[in-house]
Amino acid sequence: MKKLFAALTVGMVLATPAFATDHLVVYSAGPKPLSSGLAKAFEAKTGIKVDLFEATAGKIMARYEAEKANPQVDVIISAAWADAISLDQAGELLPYHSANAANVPAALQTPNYVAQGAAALAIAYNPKSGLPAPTRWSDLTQPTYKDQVTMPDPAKSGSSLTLVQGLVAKDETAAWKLFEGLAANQTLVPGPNNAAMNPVLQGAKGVVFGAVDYLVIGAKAKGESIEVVYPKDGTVLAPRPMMIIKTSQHQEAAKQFIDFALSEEGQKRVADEFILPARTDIQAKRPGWNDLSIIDFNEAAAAASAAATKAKFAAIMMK
Amino acid sequence: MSQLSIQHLSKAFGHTAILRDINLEVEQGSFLTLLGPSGCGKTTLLRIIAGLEQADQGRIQAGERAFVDCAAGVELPVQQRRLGFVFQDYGLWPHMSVADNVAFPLQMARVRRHDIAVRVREVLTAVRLQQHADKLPEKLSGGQKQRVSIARALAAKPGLILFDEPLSNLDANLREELGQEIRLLSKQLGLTCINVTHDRREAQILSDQIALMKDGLCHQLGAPEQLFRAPVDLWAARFLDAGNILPAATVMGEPQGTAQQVLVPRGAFRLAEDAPLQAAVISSLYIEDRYEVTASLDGHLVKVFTHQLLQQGQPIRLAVDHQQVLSYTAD
Amino acid sequence: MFQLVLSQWQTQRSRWLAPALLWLAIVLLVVIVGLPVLAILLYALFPHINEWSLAEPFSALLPTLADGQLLSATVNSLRLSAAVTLLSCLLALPLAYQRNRMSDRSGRWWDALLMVPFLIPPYIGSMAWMQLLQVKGFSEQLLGFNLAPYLYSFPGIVSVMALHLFPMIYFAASNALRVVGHRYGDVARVFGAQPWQIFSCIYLPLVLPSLVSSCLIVFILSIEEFGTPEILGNRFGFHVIVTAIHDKFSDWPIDLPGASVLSLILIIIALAAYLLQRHISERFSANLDQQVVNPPPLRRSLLARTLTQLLFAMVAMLAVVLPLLSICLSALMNTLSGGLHWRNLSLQPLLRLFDGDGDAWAAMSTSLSLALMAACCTVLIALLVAFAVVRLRARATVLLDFLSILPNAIPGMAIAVGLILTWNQRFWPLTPYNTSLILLLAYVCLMLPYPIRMLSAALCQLPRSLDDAAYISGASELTVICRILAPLLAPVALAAGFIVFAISTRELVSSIMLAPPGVETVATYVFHQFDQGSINAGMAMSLVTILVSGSIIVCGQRLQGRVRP
Repeated sequence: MKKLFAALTVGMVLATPAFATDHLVVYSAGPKPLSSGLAKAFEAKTGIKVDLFEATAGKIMARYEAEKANPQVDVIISAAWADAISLDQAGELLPYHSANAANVPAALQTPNYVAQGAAALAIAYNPKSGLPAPTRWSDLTQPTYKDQVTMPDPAKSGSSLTLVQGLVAKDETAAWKLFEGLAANQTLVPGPNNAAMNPVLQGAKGVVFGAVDYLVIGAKAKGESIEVVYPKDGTVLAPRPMMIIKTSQHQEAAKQFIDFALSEEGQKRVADEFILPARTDIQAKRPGWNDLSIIDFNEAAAAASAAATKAKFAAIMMK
Repeated sequence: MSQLSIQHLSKAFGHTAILRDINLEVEQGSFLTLLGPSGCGKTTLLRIIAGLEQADQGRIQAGERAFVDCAAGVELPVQQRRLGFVFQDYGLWPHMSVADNVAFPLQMARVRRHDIAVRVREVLTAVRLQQHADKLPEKLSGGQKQRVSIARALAAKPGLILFDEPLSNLDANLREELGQEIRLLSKQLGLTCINVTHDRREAQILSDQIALMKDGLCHQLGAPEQLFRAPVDLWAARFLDAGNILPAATVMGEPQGTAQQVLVPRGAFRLAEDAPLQAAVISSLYIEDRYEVTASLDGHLVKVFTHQLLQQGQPIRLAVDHQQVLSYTAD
Repeated sequence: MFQLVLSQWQTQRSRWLAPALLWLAIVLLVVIVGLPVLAILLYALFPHINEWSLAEPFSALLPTLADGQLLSATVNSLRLSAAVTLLSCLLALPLAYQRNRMSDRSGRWWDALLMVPFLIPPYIGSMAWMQLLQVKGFSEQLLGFNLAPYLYSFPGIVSVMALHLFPMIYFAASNALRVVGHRYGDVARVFGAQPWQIFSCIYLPLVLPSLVSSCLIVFILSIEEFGTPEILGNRFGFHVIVTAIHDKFSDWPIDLPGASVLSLILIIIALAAYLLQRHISERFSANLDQQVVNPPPLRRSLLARTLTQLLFAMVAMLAVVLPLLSICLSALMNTLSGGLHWRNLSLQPLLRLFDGDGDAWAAMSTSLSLALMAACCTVLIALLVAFAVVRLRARATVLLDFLSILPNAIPGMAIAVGLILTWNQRFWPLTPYNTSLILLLAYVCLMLPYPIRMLSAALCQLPRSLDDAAYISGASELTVICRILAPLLAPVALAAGFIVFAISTRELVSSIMLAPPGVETVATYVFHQFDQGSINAGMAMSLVTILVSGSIIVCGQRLQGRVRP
């Protein structure tokens, strides 16, 4: 028994590669097939080994923060644009402009970070629920949808927060009135994105307000009974920022990785997950850049007042 | 030469003194009992001798070896004292067979395997348990368990064996029988033993010497007959149940100097027609081969032995053998 | 004939061995538990300690504590934990009492079955209940009714958590009752006591110390539990401290110092609960007389036996069968929206686990081997700590005892941050960070409380004369531990090992934070499946893991049956 134990311990230590110097360390938010596929393809192409850590955006940032005494990561791909804004403001990002970013819209790149792709926030509804298909955000405040709407919690989902921020930036009074209407309609705010979508798939509820569109499209592709609707009054994009951390010991490899992620091959992988590719010249497998009416707003400014926005939202929904 | 010598031993828990300046000598091959009520410090003293607890002051010398010398900072670890110890609750390891229990001290002493087997058989035979060697302790009766415990204590041929109320968990008949057995074994093997008990009967059965303890002090030391015949004071007389304690005036008719109380052993009373003391029978019990009569004498209860059956309420007259009466000033 | 070989070395050894063991226990606990906890404390006070800077001290305290919802979250946490503990007791005590009155053979089957809740991760269990009872859930589809209003309410959340945690108390109480035996009850029966009087006046006070000790674990586990309040509580706006902590981790902007401050509140609550438990235990600790009488087998009427079996069957139905059934159905459903329909059920999700890239196998073998090692390590360390706390009784042992309960009080997420802060430092010549060993360290840290509690409680019930007899025979402390205490504690140690094993196989939050790149455990695998919306694949993986680790435990129990003296 003791021998087995010792062998197991030694085996695990040896089997697990410690971060060697020639490895690129990437922390990426899901979906997992995208990040692991990208890493494997990058390894195959460049011969540079990628150590990939995958979790939610929050966990990635928590790990990054906790590791600050001895930073490990070279490249971070987050699901929340605001993460990039904060790190940039703290001066923790390495400026880099990839040649492949030429076709990325200006709103989705800055000198220090660039989007890999973007999700759009939309309405998702279950056709089996027998509810009429909504067309605008405000439709969901109508009595027909009473007790049938769910919404991801902006306190737990960065994309949901982006939606709230975008709607508030577009027309503050109308937005808060909309949320009050949703609250009056018994809208359920159960947690992160999946917690809002699952009850709709299972039939307990009918509609998601602010669903992450690629998750809905992916579910539909698996045969789930769910439809995505992009409201006519405009939708909000939740871009996925890619950034190189200043303390990186492998800046060249990191730049190569960003280049690869923005290359045609890398962007096709993004499209395969039903995410909107950052490059406008790559064919999306879903409604693309031309099909969406997007609400543009200053994310940096919105980020500054994010705490107040979340608090106000919570206060309305708690009523 | 004394086998165990205890000098000026003291121990306190917090501000409570448990032992105060204990001095005792135990001769080679003799059996000493520490007798006293609970809380008198007897068990603590035994555990200090064993090395299971530490003294605050004083010395314990066992033959050539210093067990404890607080002044010199000597404290021989319990493992090196080479003692035997018999526990009140047997302390047998339930997962080991009888033989394994007995073999344990020998294994600890690195005795060769063959010698262990021989010795285990020897001591188990001595306590008449050779048939039960392979049983687990839970399969044995109380008396058998205590004999295993004794066998284990004897196994490594220790110079000194300590007993912590070895008979108190056993029923009366067994207590007598095992007590005799322990006494016999200790004499046969020439063992030096120290026993702790609150039971005077147990002390009487086992001991050459009894140290009567009270409040952390050695109250009286002596052979059993010395102690029971001449308790040093009324407290000792009462604790030992040495006889009837009565006002001197009741027994002697008039005050005897400073003495206010007298101890009249049960055997010192005798029924006699013309005796001066008048009493009334309260109860009469047939115990062993005579009656133990409880009677009321001037409102005091007295116990007397007789050979004839007396009725309850029957008046009797008692004579006293004044030779046996001891006088005490009141406490 | 005898040569008493006592070398000088041996004489020396027995002097330093006891302090050495005490110090070893202290060092182990401080390194495994103390350092990460200290790191969290420092982080709460110095929000930039992660960059080795003491700048802006205490700046995280006020904003975090001034949060208006914190008070209600704290009250909710306390209310929830108290209710869960109470309900767990109510469930566990009658079962534990009846367990000692039934034959050991059927008893052992029920024991094995009641281990299953340990294997079900709380978030999976809660999802299973939700699938089962929600509007248009399985119960509505099959039987035409739903219990959604009950499930999404305070009593609902309490029931789900208690059904998940009560085995902790059940095992402790049934072990304690076994030690007490029937004799005290028989005495009471002679004096005319009714069965419930015997139970409440005799057995309850006698098992109170170990009962209170396991209640403490359940209380602290409920305070720390995240999955159920997150999944069920969110549905009716029920927030507790742990969900507040997780909000600070969950998305932008993350607030680690704030989370650390909230963890402090949990630590303080745990400290208070711990002190209360000590107080109660000391007041009620009774020394049983050590007369072990082998009780004659109880003669019970057929009706009584049937009722007992029915009671167990009912609880097992609620705590084991229904959740497992729901997990099973979820795992077999091709699509969530397809509902319970023959066309929508297939073995595909299960089979898909084991073809393709073999990720599922790798995750499972990682989890199982880590869990096995965690079980071995924690039990060994716990034996040492229990010995130090119960038998050596130095002044440091109270600290040791409290340190050993802390990991239960702190959310796994915060412990994970503490571990990163501790071990991802340049000054360590060697660090487990970024190897699988950090996961082992995290599991050991998180799981240590169980075996320490269980072994300490069991050790308290072993008479000290067993140790003393060995010391007098010349045994060292190490010999006493190895040859006397370890064999006697083996059944409890095995049971504790199973619990650690079971919980480790499903540990999520620390795994997801600490897993080195490329290493997946069962929980992270399941998590990633859920994240991609593949509920069925996640449920399938959970189901397979529950079955595999469950059968390992059953094998272990059979082994235990053989080694029990």
